[in-house]
Amino acid sequence: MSVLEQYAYSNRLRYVHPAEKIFFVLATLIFLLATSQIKIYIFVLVVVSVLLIGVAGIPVAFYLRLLLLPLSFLITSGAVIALTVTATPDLLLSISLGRFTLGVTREGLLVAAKACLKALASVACLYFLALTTPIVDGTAVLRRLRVPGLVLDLLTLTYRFSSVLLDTAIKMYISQSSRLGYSSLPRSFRSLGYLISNLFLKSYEQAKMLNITLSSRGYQGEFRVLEHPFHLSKRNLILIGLWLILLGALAWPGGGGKLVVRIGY
Amino acid sequence: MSYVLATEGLDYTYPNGTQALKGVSLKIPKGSKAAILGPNGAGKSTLFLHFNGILKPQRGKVIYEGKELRYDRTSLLNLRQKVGIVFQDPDTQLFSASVIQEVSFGPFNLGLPEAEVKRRVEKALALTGIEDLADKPTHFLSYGQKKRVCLAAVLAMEPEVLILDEPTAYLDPQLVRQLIDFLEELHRQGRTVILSTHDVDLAYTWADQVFILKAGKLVTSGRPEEVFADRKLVEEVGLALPWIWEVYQRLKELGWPVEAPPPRSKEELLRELPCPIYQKIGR
Repeated sequence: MSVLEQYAYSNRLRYVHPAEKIFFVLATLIFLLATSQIKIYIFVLVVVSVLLIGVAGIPVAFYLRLLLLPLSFLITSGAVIALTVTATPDLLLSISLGRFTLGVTREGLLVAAKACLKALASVACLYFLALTTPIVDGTAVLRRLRVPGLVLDLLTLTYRFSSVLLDTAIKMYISQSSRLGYSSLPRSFRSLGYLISNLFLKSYEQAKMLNITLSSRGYQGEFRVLEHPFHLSKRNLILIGLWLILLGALAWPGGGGKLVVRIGY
Repeated sequence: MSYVLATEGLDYTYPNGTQALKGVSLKIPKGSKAAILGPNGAGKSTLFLHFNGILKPQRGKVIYEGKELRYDRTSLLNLRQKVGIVFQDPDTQLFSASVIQEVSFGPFNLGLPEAEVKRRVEKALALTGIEDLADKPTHFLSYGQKKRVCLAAVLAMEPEVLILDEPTAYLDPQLVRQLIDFLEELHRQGRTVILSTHDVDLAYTWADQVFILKAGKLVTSGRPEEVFADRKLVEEVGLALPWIWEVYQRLKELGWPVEAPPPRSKEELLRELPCPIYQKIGR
């Protein structure tokens, strides 16, 4: 059971209508993708982080650690974007490699910073969804959107049994290592092989058993279950609307800048 | 006496050649507390799968309420509403991501309207004492909690016959006691409860009908005190005698004049224990 999921079930936005949360995240993501203004990226990153920490009640330390996860990846790829190889050596920092010069330009740095911030802001949006909305609520919204039941049933089963599979794998791993299954490299390879093949057999058995247990409760090819009754909140919808208008105004070429200044001071 | 479930000459062989049932004929009285006893691999689970139409007998028949089972869609759905099985391993039964969804699955399959499903789910959660788990994801739960969710999921279908496959396996003593009390309550409501176990003490204390299976055959059946009277037979099957029964028999051998019927529980036995101190006080 991941910690991420535990927050999804216990955060203070848990009982906000999942459709509102999904709409908020999707609309913001589209905005992020469409715009190329660095101030929007920063603005979104800050607002979403404040919402998560201040409103949803996610501990700061945990959230920062989550943000660090993609950061290591972003820094390496950002560095690659920032680097320029050129024959004309007018760079901020450079090493010359024979006929060419490897280094960074002002433009290159800006592009890299933009890409990193864009990615980070998008990741923060996705974290917002992952930390406030359990999968179950997500599928409920998809069902309303008339996504075919078969797809949703598969989603539910995959989700449920990936945790069963993980549990089984962990148990097998513990039982193997308690018998020295991973005490040397060759032995580790062999044990891992056993683990994977057994896991496959067990999953197969489990699937057969599941079919039996479902049939015994009258399963006829459709999962129908109770869903938590959520209510759309007018206030939240208005807030999301205002948020989008604010983003639009900020992104508007020319006029936006002044608005920020006015709001900022 | 009317019988709720019965089998006649039931044979079943698994595709891998294991002969799980060999000519099993038994009758389970309506409203009884039946314990199917037997060592591991005796065919208890296979028998249960016949009771709710999951497995179709290869020879012989299964009879519910005096009528032979039919295996078309409607009849099966009807049967599965009336005969519910709680399986041994909760992880094979729980498919859903949240408790409330899991419990509502069965009632929805019965084609009930949403309001009625809601009522039944709430009732089942309350009966099993897990209302506070309703919105929890099933993989958050402890083993004992998962077991209770499985029980609630079957109870929500309001079956007339409740079958439990090794319900006390891995449960701590307190949970076992709660479960037994709960089954007692169902019994009082007039429902038939069938469970499989190899815990002879539990079977002796709780059941009013005991069936002993071994290697796919019905060895003996009857009231617990009849079945356990045949010490040789019980031990041959690989089971032990209930300790209460053993102490009672030993007391009789020692010449203690026990007039009352054999004690069924620890409390009943203690009441009959010879106690010199009491006698001294009495004098």
